[in-house]
Amino acid sequence: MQLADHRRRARRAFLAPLTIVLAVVTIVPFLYAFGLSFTNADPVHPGVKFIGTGNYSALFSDPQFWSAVITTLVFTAIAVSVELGLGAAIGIAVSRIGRGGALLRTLFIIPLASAPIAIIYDWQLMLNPTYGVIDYLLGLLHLPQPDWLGTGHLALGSLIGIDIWEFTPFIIVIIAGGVASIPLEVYEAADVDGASGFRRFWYVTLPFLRPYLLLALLFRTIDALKVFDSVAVLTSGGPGTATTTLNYYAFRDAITYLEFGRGTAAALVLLVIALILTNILLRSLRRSRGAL
Amino acid sequence: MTTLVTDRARTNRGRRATERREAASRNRVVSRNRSAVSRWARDCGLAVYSIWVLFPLYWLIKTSFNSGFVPSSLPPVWFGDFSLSAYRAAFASPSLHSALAHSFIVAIGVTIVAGGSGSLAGYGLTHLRRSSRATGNYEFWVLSSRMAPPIAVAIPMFFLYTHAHLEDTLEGLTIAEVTTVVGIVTWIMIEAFRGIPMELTEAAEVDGCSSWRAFSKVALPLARPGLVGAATIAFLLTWNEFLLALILTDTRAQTAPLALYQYIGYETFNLSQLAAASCIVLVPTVLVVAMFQKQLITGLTFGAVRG
Repeated sequence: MQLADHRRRARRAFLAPLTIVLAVVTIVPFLYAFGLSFTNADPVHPGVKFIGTGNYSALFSDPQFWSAVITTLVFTAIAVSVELGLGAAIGIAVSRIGRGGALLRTLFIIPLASAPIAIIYDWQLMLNPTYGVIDYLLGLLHLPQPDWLGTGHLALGSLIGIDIWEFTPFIIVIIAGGVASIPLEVYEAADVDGASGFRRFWYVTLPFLRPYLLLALLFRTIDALKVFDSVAVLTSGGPGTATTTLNYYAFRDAITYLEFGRGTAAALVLLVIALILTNILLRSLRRSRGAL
Repeated sequence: MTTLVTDRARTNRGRRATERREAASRNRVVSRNRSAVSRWARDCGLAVYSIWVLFPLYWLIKTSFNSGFVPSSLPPVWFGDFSLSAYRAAFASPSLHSALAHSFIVAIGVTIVAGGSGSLAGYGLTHLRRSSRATGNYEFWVLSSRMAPPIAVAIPMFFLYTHAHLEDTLEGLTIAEVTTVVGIVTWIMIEAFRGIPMELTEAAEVDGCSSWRAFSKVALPLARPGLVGAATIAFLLTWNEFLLALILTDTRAQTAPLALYQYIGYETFNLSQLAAASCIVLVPTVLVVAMFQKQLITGLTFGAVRG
């Protein structure tokens, strides 16, 4: 009994620092942002007025807002699913080659470790329509040389491509860790049963990798929903609104137009979307962990 | 002392050899029954992917060593033009120097704050508590900090910092950046401590250790790979973070990605200098990740299996 009491006190002490940190970095800003989203606050005019749900109704009646929601969801769905498929394939392949596998994995990690701004600049160099190397190479092959970042769907496609380049390694790392944890006996048993290559993959490898794939999906979805850096540097949301994601929309409202209330309202909508998706993913992750 | 060290070196060598043997036998078992065609397809796939990963890196590094107008000449100069002038020019800029220093200070500060509070909480949630439901709820709260859109964090902080005189300071930026990493760091630490048997820390407490000693002398040393992995991630994410730093800093606390962003805005005409600055900014994190790759993988994959 005394031990239990002592543990409860110890637990509180151990949790205190993080609870304080989380309160400072999540609860305080969230409450503040929540309040702000019902006002017309801006840094130029001092009189802050409560305007009820004005910002939200302005958002919901703005077609650009809905286009930003759709762009964000399209970006996340395509980028994350390609990353997941490609990352799983490469992650499995790289863990199957003996010599050189470790070296390849280190090389493949570099994009993940590199500062996104530097990488984005690198792609800007390569995608440039006048001196970019990609259009030059396409020209050698007598293929069309598009203005990658200046035409509607291609611009969004290019941003998705850059995201894939940068973050597929994240999946590779997780999958490689997952493959290493599959017990050998399982494969030996599959061999004894005479399972073919595809059946081994489908019935042995894949079920074991399921929680790893879900974990990767969870983290990547959270981050892809917030895509910002490449939009801000490469396209500024354009051409037109083709690459205006929700995070960039919120940034533009708040920082460029100085509409703090509207900007935070848009950001909070993004948070709600993220919370819903994450909750679903976390639930299925827990289920698949339990199933193993 | 010396014998101890050599002993340890020998066991390390022995362990590495065993690991290699195990990996080799694993590969034999796993790739038996595999046709030459599928092996060929796999190698081709890896080769294509390697080119996709390496070409942009090659292009950035190549451009950074180019001189004058070579970077924009067509057909491109693939090899041979090797000049350090872009690096000299980039290093001569004082704003890049101070930005790199700021990034180091903030990244290390955030790593300490997030790693420290995350380790304590990870231990408290797993070894001092039984209800997995309560742990799960706390875990979700922790993870939600990663979901917070930067604008929803930055705008309130912008207002609060103006009152508290924290705007454009390294302290203020450190507090804000903790938001982006504390979730993933704590997540990793919870899983790291979950993997350590309860019996160990309980036995220590029955033997009269305080909870603090059970944590610091028994559990933490065992959780070290997880902690190193979490710290690597914290350093990486903080160093690379852009949007919060863009809103909350100006010149006195400007970080390396922001210095680069300014370059892109004002000096687009000098391509090789930009490429050189980019290379300088991405070297520290690449080195850290390469060094702690193994722990990074361990840390990231914890969450999948246990729980």
